[in-house]
Amino acid sequence: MIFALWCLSLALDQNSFLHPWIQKRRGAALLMPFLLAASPSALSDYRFSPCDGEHQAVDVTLQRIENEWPMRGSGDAVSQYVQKLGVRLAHFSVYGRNISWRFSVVRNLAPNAFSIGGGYVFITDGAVNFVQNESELAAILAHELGHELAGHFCGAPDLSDSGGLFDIFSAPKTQQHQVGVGSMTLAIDPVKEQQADQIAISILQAGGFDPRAMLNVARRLPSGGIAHLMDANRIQSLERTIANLPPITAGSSEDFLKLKRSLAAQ
Amino acid sequence: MNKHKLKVIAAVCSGFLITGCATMEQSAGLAALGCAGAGALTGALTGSAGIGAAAFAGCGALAAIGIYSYHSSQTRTVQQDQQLYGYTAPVNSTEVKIRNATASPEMVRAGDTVKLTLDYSVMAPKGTQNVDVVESMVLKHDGKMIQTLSERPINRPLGGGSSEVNFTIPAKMPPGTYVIEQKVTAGTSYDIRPVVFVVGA
Repeated sequence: MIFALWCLSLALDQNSFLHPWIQKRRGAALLMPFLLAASPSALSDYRFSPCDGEHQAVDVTLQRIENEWPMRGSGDAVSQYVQKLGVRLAHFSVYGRNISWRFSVVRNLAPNAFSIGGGYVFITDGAVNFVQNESELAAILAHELGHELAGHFCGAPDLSDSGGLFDIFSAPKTQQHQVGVGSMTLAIDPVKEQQADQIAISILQAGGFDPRAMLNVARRLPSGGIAHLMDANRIQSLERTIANLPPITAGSSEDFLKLKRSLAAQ
Repeated sequence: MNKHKLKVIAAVCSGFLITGCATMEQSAGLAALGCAGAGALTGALTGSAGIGAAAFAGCGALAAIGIYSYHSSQTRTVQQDQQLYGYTAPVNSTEVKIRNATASPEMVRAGDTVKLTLDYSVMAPKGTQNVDVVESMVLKHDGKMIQTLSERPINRPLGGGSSEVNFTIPAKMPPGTYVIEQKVTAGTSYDIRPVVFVVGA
């Protein structure tokens, strides 16, 4: 079991997408399997520290979101389902299971999803409506997990200039650019988006979801609006990665189908 | 005017009656018309008792609730709203957020009047003065929708807006706990806040 977890962590970090805490503390990371072997409870006690300044930046962003955006409550059925699926996905990463994840649903019909660091992930009603099956929803959430697991919030720009959010639905054609969401701005870096995609694919595979869902979501995104352009390079990168993967047939759970029915009825 | 057009207009009119004079921005003392009135009016306008009966049946098993009065106003400027709720404006896209919603009193009997209040913020990109907003209220019981009480499109200035609605509990309203979902929509952004009242025997 421990060996399996260790292998999975290596698989997830195949492109050196180590959480920065781990990068800074490689010795501890290398010792982790042995620590776990010595104490079965070590995993549950093991906690990663956020990057320098990450908590502060997250707190500022959270406050702004709370002040501005209409959110589904944590007791809401859609919120509970998304939280459950997100945590389930995160547990397929050794590092992910040691982060306290909080998935929230924004009451907005435009498809969008983003993470702000500190384990906070946001997805809109529009994104939940947009997906055609559970693997596609898992792909979106896994991409956002990927940003956190890759340590993209370490050294993020000061929020006073409205940076620090990452968005699966947005990507520039060339270099990093910014997309407005609320009073905040998403920092879109093609390299980081592709890194998050790669981690997401690993998570999807480990979780038994179809990694092709990632590509399906990317291809179906509406074109024409700058906020919803998917970089052609990113799609090609996804195509190359997925072409070598064995096919996974993954159906949608009854919970997911129930969720879609309830959203359609609203 | 041919008969088909008349039927369409009558159906639309009865819809307004059912939802409680949705076009009225400010009114007071307007009697609750209920489903019976809507059905009778529809039948009279179309000359068809069947269509009138259909309009009546569309109100559902519960004796319909008619809106007694509706009042809507701007309560805070953008600056006041920002200061109160600490948000940063301008935003990049239109957003609405409900700040407060109430139903009072929470314990009522047939014939009592319930007052619903709704307070929300409207935010929009720089240069926007007004935003098209839809305020709606849906009555639910045991998780099932019973009646759309009101659905009003309003062109609102940015900042804080509020509305106040009064309605009377019909005599035939079964005792129990009811939920009214108050909803505000602007563009792709929307917010919902449920309020609860209990009808006693």
